[in-house]
Amino acid sequence: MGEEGLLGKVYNDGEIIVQEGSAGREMYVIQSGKVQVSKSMGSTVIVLATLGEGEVFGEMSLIDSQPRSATVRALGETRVLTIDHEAFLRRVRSDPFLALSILRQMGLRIRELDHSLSITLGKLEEVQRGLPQISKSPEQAQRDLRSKISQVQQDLNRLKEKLGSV
Amino acid sequence: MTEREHLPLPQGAEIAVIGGGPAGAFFSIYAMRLAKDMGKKVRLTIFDRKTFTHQGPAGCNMCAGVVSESMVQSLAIDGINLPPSIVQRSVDSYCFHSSSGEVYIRSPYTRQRGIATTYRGGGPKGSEKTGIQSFDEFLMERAAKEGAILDRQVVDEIQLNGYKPRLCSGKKFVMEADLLVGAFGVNALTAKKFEDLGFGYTAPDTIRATQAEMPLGKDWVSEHFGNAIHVFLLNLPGVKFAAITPKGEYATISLLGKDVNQETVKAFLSHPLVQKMLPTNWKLPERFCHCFPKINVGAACKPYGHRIVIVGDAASTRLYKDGIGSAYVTGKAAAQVVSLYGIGEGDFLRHYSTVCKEINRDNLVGRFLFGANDFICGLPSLSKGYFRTLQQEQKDPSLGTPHSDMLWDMFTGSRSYRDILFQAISPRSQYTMVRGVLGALSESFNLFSTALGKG
Repeated sequence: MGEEGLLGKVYNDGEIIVQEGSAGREMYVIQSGKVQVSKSMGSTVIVLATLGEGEVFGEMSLIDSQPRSATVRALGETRVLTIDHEAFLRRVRSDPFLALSILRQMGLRIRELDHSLSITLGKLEEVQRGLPQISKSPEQAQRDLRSKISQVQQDLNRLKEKLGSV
Repeated sequence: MTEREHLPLPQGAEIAVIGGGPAGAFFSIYAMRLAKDMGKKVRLTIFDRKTFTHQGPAGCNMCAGVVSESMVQSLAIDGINLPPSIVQRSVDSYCFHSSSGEVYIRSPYTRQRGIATTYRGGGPKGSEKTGIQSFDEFLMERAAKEGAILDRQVVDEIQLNGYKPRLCSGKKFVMEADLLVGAFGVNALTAKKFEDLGFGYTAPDTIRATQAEMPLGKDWVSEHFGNAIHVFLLNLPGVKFAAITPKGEYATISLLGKDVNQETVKAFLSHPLVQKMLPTNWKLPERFCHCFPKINVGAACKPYGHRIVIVGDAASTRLYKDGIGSAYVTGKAAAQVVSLYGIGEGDFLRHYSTVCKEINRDNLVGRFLFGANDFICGLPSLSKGYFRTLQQEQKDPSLGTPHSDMLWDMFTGSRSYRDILFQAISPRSQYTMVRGVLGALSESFNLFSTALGKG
């Protein structure tokens, strides 16, 4: 079955689906293709995550009314199903379990974040413990420290990605 | 409180679901999910002899197979995304045809292809090579993924004289169920078996519908029907509703009314407004895939009993529309009651009957709205004014599209009929409608005057 069976709306490569800072109360479910989640930090743009088919974004906007926290753009031709905020609220009135589905997804992401955060903090602690060793064997300690800092840096980047996808 | 009043679902419960269509599948999916959430082990068996992968009526549960915009979204939230192998065509608009003109109405909410047209079975007779996948089979697979067991035995005897419902097949004992779920629809003889059980269930009133498949070819269907469901407001005798739904190589005709038959299909196809959408001199093949299913137009009486619950259109469904949506609503609601409250008659009375009553009450308003729609379309001046209003709204949506939204909601099931009625009687809607009708009347008057002048 071809394109005619795909639900949602088509976005072309690079097209913005959600703009950071803009108002919006919809949630999105990716039907085909991929999207890139990015965030502006001053003059630099940090890529936080790449999401694919079946994954959702913007689910927090169905619940709160804060401006969008990141920009989401299509990576190649992408089809995305929009979940309308007003219709969602109407449906939740008769089926509260729909809200539970959203909460479950948010809960999963928070758990993942908790897990990542605890690992990263653990590694930071290791770095701190390693600092007194520098005076004993400066060269070896420097190498160890460099490797640990690089690990922590990678973990922090991964954590940022996960935060972005929330 | 007696067991009949309140009976929690026991640990290790045996649940028997009679019927593997969407109602049975939705009940099973959500009952299994909720049982898991609540730390309960249940054994849920779906009994259905039908294999939905077969082509033609043998593998089909016989309906237009339209999954509404709101249901597509609800399913997506629940993590059930319809793949393109199931969706024959994703739809973004309804096109209304009448003698007063035609108008395309797009979703007022999301402006996307948000409605799915599907085949309930493996596709029309003779469509073997097209690779159509069944919507019902897809849902059954999802239920199986959640842990439901599929049993192809025909349950031909149910006994209620003991402690629990007792199921037999060909005089052989099958199981004693803690809970019996009836998801047999309105086309199966099983309804009579449930009525005979004596717990007060009476199947809902039905009328006949026709589904007929037109093998027009993918190119023709794409070019002439596009991504729209075409509704024909033609006032054909005995026809309450007529529509053509594009689906890949085919376009499905759906007619609803009193005593619809093959002649009704031919009369519909020979109408000039339908003819213009078909290839010149096109005729239905000698043998074409069609069926005459029953459609629920009333409410079932007491769709529950002690350790028994009926779901889907065998219980309640939205008037003329969205049978799959009602399967979702009632199936999910019953699953919630079973898991959160219990399986006693009192549990269903307090928590499930209210869901069915809500649908039934809304249908009363629906009857009035469809009646009003028929009335408007039956009077040329009013119909012309109505269509003029719709066309103007679609031409310039920035001024608001109240009438288009109402028609969209009525035909797609996006809002309750009660909400639509409140919108219809709002002063703004009344004003735009009166303006449209006056415009049409003045146009007719001008034409008449010109004709008189020429005469």
